[in-house]
Amino acid sequence: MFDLEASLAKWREELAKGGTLDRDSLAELEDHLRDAIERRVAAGDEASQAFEAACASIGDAQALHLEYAKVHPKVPWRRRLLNALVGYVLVSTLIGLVFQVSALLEVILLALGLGAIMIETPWSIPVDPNSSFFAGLASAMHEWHQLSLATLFTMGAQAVLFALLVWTVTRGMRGSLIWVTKAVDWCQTSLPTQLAASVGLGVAFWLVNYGMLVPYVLNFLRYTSGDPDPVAPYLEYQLIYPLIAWIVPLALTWIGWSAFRIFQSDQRNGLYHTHAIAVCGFIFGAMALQAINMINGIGYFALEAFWNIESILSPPAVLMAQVTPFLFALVFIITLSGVGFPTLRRFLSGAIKRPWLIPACWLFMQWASVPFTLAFYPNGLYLNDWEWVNRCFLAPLLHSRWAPLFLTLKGSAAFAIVLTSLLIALNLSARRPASRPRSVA
Amino acid sequence: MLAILTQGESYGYAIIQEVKKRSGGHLEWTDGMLYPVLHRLEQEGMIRSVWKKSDTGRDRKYYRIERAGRKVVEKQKAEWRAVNGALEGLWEGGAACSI
Repeated sequence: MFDLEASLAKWREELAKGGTLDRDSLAELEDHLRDAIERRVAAGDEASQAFEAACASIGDAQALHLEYAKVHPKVPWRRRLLNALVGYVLVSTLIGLVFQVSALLEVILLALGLGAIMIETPWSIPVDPNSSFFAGLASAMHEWHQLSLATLFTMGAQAVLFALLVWTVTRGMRGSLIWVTKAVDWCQTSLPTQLAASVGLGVAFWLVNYGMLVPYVLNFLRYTSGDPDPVAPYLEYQLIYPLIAWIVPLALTWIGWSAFRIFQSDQRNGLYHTHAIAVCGFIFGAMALQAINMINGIGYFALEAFWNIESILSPPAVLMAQVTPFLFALVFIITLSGVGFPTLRRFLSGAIKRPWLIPACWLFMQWASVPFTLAFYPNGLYLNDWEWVNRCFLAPLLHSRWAPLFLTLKGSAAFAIVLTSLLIALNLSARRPASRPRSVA
Repeated sequence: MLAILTQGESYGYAIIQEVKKRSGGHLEWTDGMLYPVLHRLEQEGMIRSVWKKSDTGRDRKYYRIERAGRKVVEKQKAEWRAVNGALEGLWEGGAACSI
């Protein structure tokens, strides 16, 4: 006796084995199959005949998997890991560059006389915060000096790394870095080598982004022990930055190259689109970065509480600053994984084709956050001795209620410059004709 | 498919039957291949889907056309009409066509 339900369950089980069709897709196909069977039975067919005919008309499993894979690609977890690491590098580099570009904008603004720094210049030129043009110029010179050799090293390294990554992902560096290709091949020979390479790169990324915490903590200990010279940590910065800023980019090139090869291979197989993966990795990386920042923030508070020092930031403000981007990243992950937020997913797909949309939205988000920032700083921001070691602010604006607005605008402008460059580069690469066939798979 | 959805929301099986009917049997494909196409259209924002209870009591995924999809239909209609008009003019005018 033919059992329709058992046959349908078996058909569904067989179709699910390929791993390409998710629960929704299977349910949709089963509904289609049931409709086709009901129609045939109503026309006089036996249930078993109707089932066989309906299965044949819906298509064989292999062809279905191939078509579904083009629309709903399944990405192996190792590739996800690699994408996350690539995204992490891109995000880290991007954020680093944003800070550097922001610092340069600050210098330009000071040179234009739009403010003055609150500390004395090394040339003992008195700087009036309600400054004239000359005071602004002196401030700009001081700010440039404050960037220091170490910062310039970092800026140079980040720019080189950023250019390498964009170049690697968009055009590749075939022929110019054979040893990198060989290293990538070796790293991809087995799971242990790939994992070892991934872990090694993870450590390298941490060094690039958080290695600076080591001299920072040293400085903190020195400060709390009564050292009168807070500029001293620049010595540690100057030693560590060149090391981590110039050696690590070469290692990071590996991951860009590796990702590029995977993208190429996937594109050849029609599995999924390079840009979707780039965005995915970017967001995975952003989430990882925010998660680490959040942990750092909590640790920072623990340190402050332990040393009983005055904080320049209120705990609610910092928690908001740490948690909010994390939640945003989580929304993006859910969106890109296809679980929810279809409207946002459509927006992201559209944004890839219109690169100006993302920085525009980022700017909007920054501006929208200003009322919150003002609520947390009703009397304006202020500096403590720690802050001016690392950054120099524009004193007149800093002590006004518009300080958060100004800082937001400046940071946003820097972010927009960097991100727009990246997106335009990706967009231009998408318009290039297909590259010539490669002999190396 | 987009043209069919401009008539109102529908589901996979009904869309296929409609395509077969409207094309007089000239357009036929393996039924299962329809769904990836629908999913791609949804990813591109041309249609939207929603699960609902059908008349049979089963859960069924219905598709509805979006504004972007309507624009594409209109654009494609205009293009096909232009091509069709040009070819009709050529053939009725007795022009040789070696293609």
